[in-house]
Amino acid sequence: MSFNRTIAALAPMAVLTGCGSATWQVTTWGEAYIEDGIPASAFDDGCSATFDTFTVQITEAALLDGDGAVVGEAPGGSFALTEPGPQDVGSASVPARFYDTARFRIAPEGGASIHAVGSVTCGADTVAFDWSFTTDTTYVCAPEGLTLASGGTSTTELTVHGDHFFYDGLENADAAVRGQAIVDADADVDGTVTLAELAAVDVAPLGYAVGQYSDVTDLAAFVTHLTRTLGHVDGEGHCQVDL
Amino acid sequence: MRSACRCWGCYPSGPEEDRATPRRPLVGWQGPGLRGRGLAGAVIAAWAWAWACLGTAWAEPFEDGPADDAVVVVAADASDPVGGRHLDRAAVEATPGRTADELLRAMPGIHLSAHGGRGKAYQYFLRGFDAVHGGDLAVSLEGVPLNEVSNVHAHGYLDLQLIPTVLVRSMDLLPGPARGGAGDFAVAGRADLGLGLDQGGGVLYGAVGSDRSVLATVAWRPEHAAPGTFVVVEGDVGGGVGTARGWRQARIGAGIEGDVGDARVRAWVLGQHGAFDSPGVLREDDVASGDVGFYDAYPGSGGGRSTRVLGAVQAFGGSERLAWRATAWGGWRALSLQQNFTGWYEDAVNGDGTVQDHRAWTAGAQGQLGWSPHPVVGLRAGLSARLDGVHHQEDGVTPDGTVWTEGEPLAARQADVGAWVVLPLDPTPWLHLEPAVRADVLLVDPDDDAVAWAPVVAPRLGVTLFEGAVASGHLAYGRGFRSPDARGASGGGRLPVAISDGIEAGVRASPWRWLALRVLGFATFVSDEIVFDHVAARFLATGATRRVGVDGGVSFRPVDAMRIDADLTWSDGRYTGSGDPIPYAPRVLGSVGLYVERLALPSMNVTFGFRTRLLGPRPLPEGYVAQPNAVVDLTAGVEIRSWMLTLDVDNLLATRWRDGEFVYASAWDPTAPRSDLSARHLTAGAPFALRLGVGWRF
Amino acid sequence: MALLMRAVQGAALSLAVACAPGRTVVQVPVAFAPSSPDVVPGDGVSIALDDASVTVAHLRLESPPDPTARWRLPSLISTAVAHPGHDFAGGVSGELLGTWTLDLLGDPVPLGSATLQDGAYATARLQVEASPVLTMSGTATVDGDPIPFGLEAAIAQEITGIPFDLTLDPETPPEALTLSVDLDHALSFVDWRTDPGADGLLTIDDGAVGHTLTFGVVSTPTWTLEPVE
Repeated sequence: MSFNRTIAALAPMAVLTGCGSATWQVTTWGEAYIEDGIPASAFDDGCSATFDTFTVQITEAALLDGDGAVVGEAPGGSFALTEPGPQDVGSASVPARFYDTARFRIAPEGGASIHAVGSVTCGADTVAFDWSFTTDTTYVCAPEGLTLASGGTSTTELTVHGDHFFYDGLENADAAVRGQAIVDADADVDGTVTLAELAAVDVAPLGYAVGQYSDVTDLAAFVTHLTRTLGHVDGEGHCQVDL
Repeated sequence: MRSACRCWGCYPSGPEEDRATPRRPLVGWQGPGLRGRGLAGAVIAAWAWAWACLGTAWAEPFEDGPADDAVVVVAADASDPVGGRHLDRAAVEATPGRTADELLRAMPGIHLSAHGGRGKAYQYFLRGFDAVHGGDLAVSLEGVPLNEVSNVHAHGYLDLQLIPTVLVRSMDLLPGPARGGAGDFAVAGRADLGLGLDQGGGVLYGAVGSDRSVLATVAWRPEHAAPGTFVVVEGDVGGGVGTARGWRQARIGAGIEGDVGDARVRAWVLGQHGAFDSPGVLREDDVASGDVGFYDAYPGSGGGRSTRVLGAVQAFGGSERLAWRATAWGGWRALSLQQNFTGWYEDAVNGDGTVQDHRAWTAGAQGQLGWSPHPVVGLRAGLSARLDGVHHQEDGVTPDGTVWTEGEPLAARQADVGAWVVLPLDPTPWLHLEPAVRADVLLVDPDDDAVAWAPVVAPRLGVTLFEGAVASGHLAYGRGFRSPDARGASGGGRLPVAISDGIEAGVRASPWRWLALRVLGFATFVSDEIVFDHVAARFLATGATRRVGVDGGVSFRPVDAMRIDADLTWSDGRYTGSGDPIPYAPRVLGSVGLYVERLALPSMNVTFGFRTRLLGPRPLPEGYVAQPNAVVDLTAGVEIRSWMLTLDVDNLLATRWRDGEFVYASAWDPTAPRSDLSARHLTAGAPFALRLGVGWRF
Repeated sequence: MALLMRAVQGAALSLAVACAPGRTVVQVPVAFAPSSPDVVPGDGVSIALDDASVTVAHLRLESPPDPTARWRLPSLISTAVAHPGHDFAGGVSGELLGTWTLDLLGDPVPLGSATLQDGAYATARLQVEASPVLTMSGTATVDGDPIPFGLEAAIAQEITGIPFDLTLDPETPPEALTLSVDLDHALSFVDWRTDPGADGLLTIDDGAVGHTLTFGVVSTPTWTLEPVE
């Protein structure tokens, strides 16, 4: 739309807009990494991964005003992120204005908070996994430019990064994505890695870094901790998590 | 005192207590702009055209007085803000201040902080607002807005270096809620400067200063021409006191004013080019330990170059019942700022220095109308449009100015189309009402993104009780707004707009001709303080804020040419939710001044200004509080026949005062381990300096 | 008038001295308390250390995180951009800058005086430097069998989250802070049963010793920082 046309088109709208309510739409998406898989190029050790199931339980999707008060909440629910495209989490009617904070909570409610089923392949070795987690994580996120016009609709996306499952560090920003340790954890060589098998693997010999989370000593605890870093906003937008 | 056509805004002329009533228009219609760098040439061409068209007009005798004022000024803004102040040229001359920016210190409740050298815009604080570099303070020149939208350094950047002080013919200083047709950036207050040479003839003026400065000014107005007919050339260079404080400024200005038919028409153009050093900040612990001197600077503290051209064509006309005013203007701007406020904190190899480059053009037009169909009801209305084009970029630089990392450039156009209506009502002789509303559509059109927009509707109301009586009451409500920064426009849609709702109520009394008193209370509420964090390059909603305060003043005028003014403003700004104070904004500001305005003595005129500014403690982050200051400035002038002798003294008592204090972590020695502890940093206030000048009128 | 102004000026400056508060700062000495050369990492292993040293730098003391501070307030002057991590980080309120190669078995050594601002503290962090390298040598006894070892590792990692519980009242600051190391914990991750190879000496290249030694040295519980009242 040309600039002049925009002026002409929006001038009458200025009269019609102003104070009032707007619709805050919330979606969630696992992007290509969860829908199609994580390619070897994303792994530091040449592995790759796919997900057959990736379900998250969103128990809170709230929009906060500048004082930190909740002005609207979408209902949330359970979402299978392997389905293609962003999924509708719900919407809320909120005062029309500018916002910079949205809060999401992924927590167990009648089941796991996160359920991931898939496989990891390193070279000729492939192992399947079927992991359920009950972590309860609140993400405080900063969506960019979220301005809700009266009568209008704006969308915020809770983006879930599936590759975080395979990070080799809990708090270092330069953590690499690695899969070999997961494959090697298949102690009974049945082609499936369980959380119990991960729990039998110490992280210390792996070269993994736990930072200040010294209670994380085994690979199951490590992966479980990583489930609390999956949430982002509108793609790559970071969220703060009180761990 | 109001003139017969007062409701519709005739410019007041009269004694000082009446001149305290500001009635200059502040908004207008602004039209489609010219493109790119050719704009400056177009402005000059327009001015040349105006000169040609009006070539004979200035030859006509011009006499100051109400008749001319009635023609010149129409459709004024609003009823009197009780905290406002009008300064005519004589009062301006008696106001200490070397630049037009510094003259704004005459506004009650304002504090100006310089952390960028003589050439970068000041940081403004007003009534509890940290207006940054002008984001909450709208300033105009003959109604032409001076705030720069989406400037790379700060949205609303307010740099008055363009204006030679000799051309500041008047100042209307209006702190408080937006009124009448006040537009963009009129959040904490606004000001309008009158442009022109007050006296006919020519002036050659030169001055030298103890701060290694030299100022030379040549100004000429034909003897019988209007004040808007002038030519001014000025050079201003100096080394400053201390390190990294040098500057070079060149200013030119030309204007022409005359009658075309029944209309008064004027055109003017101003140009400025400057280069300057910037001392930046110093760590308090470094100063205390003697590692750096109070007026020293760290290596690579920065500096800048600034070029600006601004011109306008204006026409006024009408009668007592129907008056109009139209303005078209345009300008071009280039600004480059190098700065480093954290040393090597973030990057121990290259340093944290940045260079900001900004190129912009601006154009606009405005029209205003005042109509007086009936003694009880009237109408003032206006249309305005402004279009700006900006292109800027911020790169990382090493201390020697070498770019080591390039930032993302931004190119965008930005528009503000607005209209406003005021309905002055005089239902009884003792009650004057001025309901008003202004509506704007703001647009941002980035080169690489979709058009984004925002509507603004701003209601206002002014109430005056018993105006003209010994004591009058004043009540005002006004909504002000600040347009969005183009950097925040991503993905189109509707943009955030900072909105403030302000109220004030006060009393003005003048029991005797020589005494005027004012006292008022004010409160400003911002429902959600939307600010642009230029570090993270994103908007933040920092929560609701409120500012409450009291402003009072006494003006004692024993004789017409002498006054003693005392102002005191207390404000308390806090985040509503947490109750935390809004950092950096002063809570107490005051001034006491003795001003002598062209006092006629046998065979000489004397001008004198002696002012003490009091800056109270300011809340800083992490529980720090900035230290209070008291600073005395002086200006004096004697005019004997054709000769003038002047003396300007900055910081008469040679106080080592701090006009800015900040709390954050920094590292100024790249070879030393980096400290993460927050530290107090300061910007040194103006040091003692005196400047002696000699002028000759011809 | 000038005298009056000077009086005003003097009063203002007096006020400035009295009323320009910030966070109160105190200096508190910090000392390193070494460990015993006799280490018992568990799992039936006992170790006699002959030599143990590590190079550390810059002890930083952090206030508790403030989860209510959603986003950093903007400032005219840029500040360091927060680490784009996922967790709240407390602000640094105290520090002792410097680099020390610590003899983990020697005598207590003073590290210097830390600058501490008033208020609450929760954690500390310490940088492990790669040079000079970490060294540990001695003999591990595993199930009665002596296994000599000589380990050298160039570790460049930060030890984060060292517990440091203190509310500093400037009127009653602690006499000192003591930094100590728990070698039992630091060496508990090493698999001392790893085949030392043909030379009979366990080195950093044997098995996962490099990883496990690093893991243990930078593990939060290995380090303790405590105020001495």
